Amino acid sequence: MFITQYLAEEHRKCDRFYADAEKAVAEDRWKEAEEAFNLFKEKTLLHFRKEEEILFPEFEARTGITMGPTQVMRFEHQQARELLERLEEALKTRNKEEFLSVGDSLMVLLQQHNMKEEQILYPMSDQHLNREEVVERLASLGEV
Amino acid sequence: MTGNLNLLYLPPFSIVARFFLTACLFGIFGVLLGVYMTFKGYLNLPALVHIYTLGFAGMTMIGALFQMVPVVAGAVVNRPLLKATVVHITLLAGVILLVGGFLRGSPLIGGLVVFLSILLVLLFLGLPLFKLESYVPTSRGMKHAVFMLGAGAVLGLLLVLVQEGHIDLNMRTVMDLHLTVMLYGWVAMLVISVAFQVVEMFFVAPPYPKVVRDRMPLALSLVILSKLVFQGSVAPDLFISGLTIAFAFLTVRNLLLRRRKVRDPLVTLWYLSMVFLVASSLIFPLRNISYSLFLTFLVLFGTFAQTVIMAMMYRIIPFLVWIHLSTKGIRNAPTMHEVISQRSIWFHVGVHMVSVGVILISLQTDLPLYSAHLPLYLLSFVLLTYNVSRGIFIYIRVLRS
Repeated sequence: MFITQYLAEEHRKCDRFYADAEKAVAEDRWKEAEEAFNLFKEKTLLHFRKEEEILFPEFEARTGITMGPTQVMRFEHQQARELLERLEEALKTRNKEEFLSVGDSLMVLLQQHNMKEEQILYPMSDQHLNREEVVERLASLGEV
Repeated sequence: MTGNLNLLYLPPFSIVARFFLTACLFGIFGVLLGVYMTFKGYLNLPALVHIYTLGFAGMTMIGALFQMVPVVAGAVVNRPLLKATVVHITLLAGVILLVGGFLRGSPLIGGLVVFLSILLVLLFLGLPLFKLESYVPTSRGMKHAVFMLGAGAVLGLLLVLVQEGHIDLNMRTVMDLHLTVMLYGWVAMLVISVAFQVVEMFFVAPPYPKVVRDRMPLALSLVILSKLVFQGSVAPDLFISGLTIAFAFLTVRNLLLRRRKVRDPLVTLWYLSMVFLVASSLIFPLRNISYSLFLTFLVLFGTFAQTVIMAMMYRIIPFLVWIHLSTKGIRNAPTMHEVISQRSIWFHVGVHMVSVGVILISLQTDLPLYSAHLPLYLLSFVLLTYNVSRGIFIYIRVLRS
């Protein structure tokens, strides 16, 4: 399996988890919203972990590029984590407006982040790394 | 290829801000020009059309390309601020000179300056884009759109030269080619290419069928270019119409199946834009039957473009305000709905729908609505300018505080 295919599918799954949480918040189903959000957060952080612990170091070691795209991706992961905290706070205080506004920002952040990964970083990783082995190691951390 | 990766960065906010704000102001100037013409009792269609197609739509789309070429396609654009400034000033001057030239009956100088600005776009954005291998359909489609922008500019310059008597060609044929290449090859092609990515990703919708994503931009380009061979034939027009209508139906289907079901004015804008794309494409093969049909086609296609551009601006500006502030280390930077409220966008969507309805009715009937649509359009562009400016001011205020 290609790294691009494996990780892009994880992006789509996380998007679906967020959509469920957002819908529940919009309909004031707060209990379900919390469950859906927790799932979204858990899976998104797992996806980040797979990239930060396996893909990025492997990519940096193989290509020698350490201050380029992987650094930008790590920075954007950090920005996403901050927004996840704000979403969690909005859920706790049942602030629908805040949740939907922060959520919209997070979704656009993640989508432009995903575009860059799927257009450049993943295809390059497929070219330069042992993709079967990398996918196996990514999968060993758990399923998104 | 590794060199491409060093610039996975965020182009400066001022690039998009200046292009979008200028576009909004051209929208207002366009309405004011319409008011002036109404009072004077004449219609200069080329002046009015180009203030919207170049001043509003072109300015927005080129500004958005400065953001999308590095982010979506991953192409390197070195010194983007300098390049964007040069393109912005040249295009701004070009639009003013061209519209002024149309009003005075001599558009050559304006045409040359606009042509130069598009050459610069090809040099600064097209070249890095074409050098790059495309892994996603959006990036491939963008190449087609930028190529068509260049082709449309050449045809536009030819048209001006024909009009001023420097070249002897059939003016009607060149004008028809220019119109088709610019509206369908550039505007619709860019919207289609971007939609492949954003409809699926932003609204968590199903992807477009693979064959559509992979083949539609090429098919649309080939059909448009075939007009060079089959001049006067309606067959290419029917194919162009069919392809864009198919795209619009697929987009509506995907939006209906989206997972993000929250009430969102941007979804409404996408639906509306697709309705107008279908309506304009249905009339496109018939546009030369009568002047009234030609005008109706222009209004419908213009509304499609304006509506999708509104959706684009209302997504891009609030996000860029947040991400630029966040990247500068500002904690709890204002998020999207805090930058431009959903209520403001909904209000604008309402005004936009009424203004379009009024102009369409006025075109088809003898009702005295012709003067009513102008204040509504003015209100619509003032609202857009206010909302976009508000985003820019919030960015400046937070940055300075």
